[in-house]
Amino acid sequence: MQTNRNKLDRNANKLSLAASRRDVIGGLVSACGAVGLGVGSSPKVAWSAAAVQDSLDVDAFLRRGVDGGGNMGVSSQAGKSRPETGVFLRDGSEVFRNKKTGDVNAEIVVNGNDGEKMAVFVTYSTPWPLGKNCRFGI
Amino acid sequence: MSFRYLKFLDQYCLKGPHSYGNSNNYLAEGPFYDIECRNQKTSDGAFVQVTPNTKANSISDVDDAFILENLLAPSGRFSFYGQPTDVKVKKSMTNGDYRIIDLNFSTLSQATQTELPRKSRIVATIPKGSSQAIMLVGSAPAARWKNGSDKDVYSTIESFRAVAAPKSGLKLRRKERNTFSLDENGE
Repeated sequence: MQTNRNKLDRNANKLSLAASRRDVIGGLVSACGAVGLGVGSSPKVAWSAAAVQDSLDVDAFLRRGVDGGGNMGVSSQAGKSRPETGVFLRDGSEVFRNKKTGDVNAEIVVNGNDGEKMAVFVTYSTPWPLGKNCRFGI
Repeated sequence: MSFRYLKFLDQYCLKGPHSYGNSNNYLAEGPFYDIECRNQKTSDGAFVQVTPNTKANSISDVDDAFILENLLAPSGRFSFYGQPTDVKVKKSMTNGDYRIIDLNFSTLSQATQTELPRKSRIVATIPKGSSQAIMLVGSAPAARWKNGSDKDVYSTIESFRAVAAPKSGLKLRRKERNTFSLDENGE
């Protein structure tokens, strides 16, 4: 009889401990929620405009006469497809520019008068570097 | 941006040193240009353009309108935000096998939402045996034209030559434009 009572007391203690643990966890969750609501209630600034150019440095444009086109982001490259220049390089060849002399050499493939393809050497000399990167513009 | 996409870019598109934030990586050098040289800061530059079949025996038989129609096409080099406007041919002359055209036009700008005047000089020729004309287009903003850009454009245009290559037994194939497809080896 005594042992049964002891067992009941132990179970009651366990239940009270479990209840207190539930209270503690519940209290923590509600506290976190309250803090979150307090922080989240303040308005946040959207910084997604970094990819959009919505202003122009007019003074710089008038001084240099160059339209920089803005920062290169997703929006400034969107809709730009590779221009069609009709140029087909010969397979196995590359465009080459001599940095010292500025001479540019390339071998392209065009259609001949007889309907066959023919190779043409194209060369010119220029002070400007060879355009290679993705940031193309006019 | 996923790690797989970054890995793809690193493997197929990126060459040369550059940085993403604090990390050392490679400069993105995409194959978007054909044969073009340009000053990124001033936008002075020159590029090669090839026309369709001219149906002409020599460059003197080709009309200026045919050349300009190809150069200023909606998919052309100067038509990123719309076809150029205010097009004016200032001078056109044929010197031997080469046609030289001075052209003024305006390009549409994204930044200014306006038209920016631009000046250019074009040289075109039909190499012996070719049915297509090949031209070099040099251009600069009109505001910079008299500040030295004109001399650079003129000297570049004068140096242009396009001649038929000697025939050889090697197979003649065109290089694919801008393909990022992988072959059976995943390369």
